[in-house]
Amino acid sequence: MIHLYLGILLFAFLVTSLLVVPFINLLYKLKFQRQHQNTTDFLNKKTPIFDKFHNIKKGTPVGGGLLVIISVCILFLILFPILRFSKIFISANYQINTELLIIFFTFISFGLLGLYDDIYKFFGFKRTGFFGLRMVHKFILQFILATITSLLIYFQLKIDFIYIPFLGAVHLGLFYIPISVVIITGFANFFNITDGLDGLSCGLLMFALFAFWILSNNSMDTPISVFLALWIGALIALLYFNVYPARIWLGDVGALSFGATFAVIALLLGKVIPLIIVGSPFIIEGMTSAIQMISKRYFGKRVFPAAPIHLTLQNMGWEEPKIVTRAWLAGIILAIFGLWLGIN
Amino acid sequence: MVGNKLNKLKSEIDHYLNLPYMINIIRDGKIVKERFLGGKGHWKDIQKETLRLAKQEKIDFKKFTPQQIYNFQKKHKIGIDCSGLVCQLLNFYGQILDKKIDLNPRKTSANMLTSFPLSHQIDDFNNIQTGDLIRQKNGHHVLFIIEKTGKIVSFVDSSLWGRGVKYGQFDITDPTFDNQGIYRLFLFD
Repeated sequence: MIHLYLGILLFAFLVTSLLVVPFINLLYKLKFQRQHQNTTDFLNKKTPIFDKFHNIKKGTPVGGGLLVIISVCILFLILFPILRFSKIFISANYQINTELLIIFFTFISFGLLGLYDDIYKFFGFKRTGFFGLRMVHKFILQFILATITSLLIYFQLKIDFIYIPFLGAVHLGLFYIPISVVIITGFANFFNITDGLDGLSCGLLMFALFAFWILSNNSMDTPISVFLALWIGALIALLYFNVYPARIWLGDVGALSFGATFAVIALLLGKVIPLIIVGSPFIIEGMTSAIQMISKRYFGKRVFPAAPIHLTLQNMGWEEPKIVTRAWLAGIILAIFGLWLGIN
Repeated sequence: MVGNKLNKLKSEIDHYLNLPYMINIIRDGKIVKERFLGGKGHWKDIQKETLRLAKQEKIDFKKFTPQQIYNFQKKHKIGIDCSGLVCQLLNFYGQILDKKIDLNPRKTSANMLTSFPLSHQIDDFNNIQTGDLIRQKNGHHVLFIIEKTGKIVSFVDSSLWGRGVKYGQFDITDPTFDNQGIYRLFLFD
């Protein structure tokens, strides 16, 4: 089957590559571009370090995630029935339709939430004076979507366990639902926070998805393997234009969708510990932001000169490509480590 | 209560007994020879198809011995493979235990049934229980455990070498018993 999955990946790469440039032009036409920002944090204080490094990116089209979501959905709709009818043996650990419903519900619904936020940022800023959806509104909506996904996983697929490498599976019962809500919401936000430098989040995700692609193949789950093959192929095509200096950005449409779906894939495969290892660059980025916020709110002090960590490194004088390349290298090693744990 | 459930399970197994071993031939992930319901059908569907073919060929099964019925089914490539049998039995056993097990026999293999995330390994043969699975031939074959009495474990499986669906037994103290472990569905925990 592996050569089939590789072929699907290459096909997705080819199709998305052909669409990227016209899509970038379309984003320019729609003025879906990064704007000059004078951002404030949750305490309404200005964030000059963020603006200093990010305002040079003004004018870059945003919304590459939408292209990936559309190409993956359309290609899956075309290819999966072809596989079924061409007598390819399709194996799945759970009912295929429910499994696909969960994956695509997360992929699309979080994407739509991100798209709404992006549109709000670009066109609602002057009207509301606030950049994007308010954090609390965004969290509530993410929480609702993550709860729906978790309920589907728990009640429809009857998954209530996580696998601990070397120890075995641990049944969580109903606690599985809040834990998976936290994991899905957490990863959606951690990924969104990581998406701050050219190629950083997309590159890290590419390595992470490769690791989970091998794990899904190991679990003999054809729908997940096909979905990941399409996603990786489309992502590589986008990454070509997303590396420094980026010609296109993912936007919240991609960031929220990709983070949440990555977590859901791991939950479906029962590989939460490998998710934490493979996804630790996203977690570190997210946690530095969270620590900074808590420290500013409750102690009135900053722990880091700027958060997330990539802004601190930029502030220390590291070049953007240097930070990204080193993060990628860390991502490769963590993906290998996570894979090793996941296969055990 | 337990005995009642076990009897229900045994009478369900009886419907599959003596069905020929039949499996789709898959090469490089592609089904090159497809059998009736992929060799994963429920006994009712297999029975219906057998009777349909018999009617078509104007054969009266009343005059047939079980061996002749077996040969007729084998000739028409009707039967069940090991994972198909195990899936059907797990779904049935789940039903009588009030656990909604919804395995899709056509999408699962012996390897998947005895792998994470569907099942987990049980370390001790003494803890074996009804519905557990024995992995054999590196995941190419699977046995369904019916019950354990003392050190003797009864199972049912469908295999080519066993000429279809047959009961079997093994002694848990027998070191020569070929297996790669006992597995239990997470849903049976």
